[in-house]
Amino acid sequence: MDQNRFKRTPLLAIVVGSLAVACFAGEFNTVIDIGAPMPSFSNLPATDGSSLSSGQLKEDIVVLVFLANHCPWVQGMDGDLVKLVTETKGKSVRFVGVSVNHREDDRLPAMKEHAQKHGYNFTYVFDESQQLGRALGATRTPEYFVFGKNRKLAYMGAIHDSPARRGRDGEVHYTKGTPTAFHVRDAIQEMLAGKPVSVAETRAHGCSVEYAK
Amino acid sequence: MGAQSNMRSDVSSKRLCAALLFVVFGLSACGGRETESSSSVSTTAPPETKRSTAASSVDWSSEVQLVKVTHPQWVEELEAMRGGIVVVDNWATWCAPCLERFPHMLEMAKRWTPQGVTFVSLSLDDRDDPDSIEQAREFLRQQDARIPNYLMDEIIPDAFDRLGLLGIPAVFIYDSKGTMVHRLTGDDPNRQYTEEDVEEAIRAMVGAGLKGRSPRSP
Repeated sequence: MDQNRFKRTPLLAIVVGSLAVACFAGEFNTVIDIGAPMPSFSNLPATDGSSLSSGQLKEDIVVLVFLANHCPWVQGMDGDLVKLVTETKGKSVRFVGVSVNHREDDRLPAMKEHAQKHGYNFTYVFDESQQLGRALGATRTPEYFVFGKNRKLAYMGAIHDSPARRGRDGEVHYTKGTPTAFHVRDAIQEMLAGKPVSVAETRAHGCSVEYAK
Repeated sequence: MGAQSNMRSDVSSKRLCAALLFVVFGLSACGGRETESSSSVSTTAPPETKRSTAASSVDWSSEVQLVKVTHPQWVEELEAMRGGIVVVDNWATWCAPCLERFPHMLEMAKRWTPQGVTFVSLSLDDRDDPDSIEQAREFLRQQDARIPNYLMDEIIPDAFDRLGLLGIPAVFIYDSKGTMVHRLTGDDPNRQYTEEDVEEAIRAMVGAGLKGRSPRSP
């Protein structure tokens, strides 16, 4: 794990971070807003044994989704995420799951188990330094950040309009019934069609990301 | 206190304004509520009169109880508590850090209640899932949480919207006029609140003479 990845571009990180805090807070995000650049990252360890850097992402669209194995809301919407990734196969879209929490059940060993158990069909990395999460203002899981070819933020928020939680009974409970608005899918389709994203920000609902004090 | 500066952000201001609007409208809308004790569930709504709320009709100290309130009813409960410092702990059983912080909140309640500070818990568990409600009640019973415990009787995402919450745990502290003066959240990754922030906020308010009343009898 390279915990010093941001040290490689400290000035850029500081400038981007300061501008973001000063000017770009979204409606549901205290750090960045739509149009913000994707922060660079390097050598984040993945559940498949590889590591990932932002420079490796060549697809037209990059979706960063913040996850936490332990979170019932993540577990409740895992199926929707996996289905969405399947739907975009063959298109120039790359999904990257990011785990940020330091609790044992959210760390890499547990991530590997979780990814296998739930059929994760995307790269799932551990942001142990929490720098990527902080730079994006990610505070809930699951929370989506969709970037276009220019690596500017085009959408952030929830996957759809009916947050779902896995209960103690193992069943998935959709809070508002069957979802009717698929925000991330719609954003991707609009971006692939060269259209502006019609709904660019929603409030992600889920567990809070636990940042080190 | 770093977390306090959340209140000054544009984002928080928008949500605060939204919350105030709900307070204004909520005061005029009162319906029935459900009281859930550790052993029984009552669906009988008591007669609604101004200031006749669960806070005044339930003996919170005798046994652990959980009272369902819609958002308008919650606003009414807060209104009824006006006159002293009120600390609201927003939590849920699905929120691991909430469960971890809860005992400290109760410990603070024991120390500050004699000085006129009211500690209240507001559960954001799934009102449509009986198992979730039972889990919340179990937890409160295990904690021996003999404080006013409420469960928001709204669809969870709607409850978050109406409370202006992005995530939990979150602590709201009201002064004797019923004004939210501290909104301690994890909304900003770089300004996460701590138990010490809660403690410090209460200490400062009590020290400034903002408590305004003696401990209330049930």
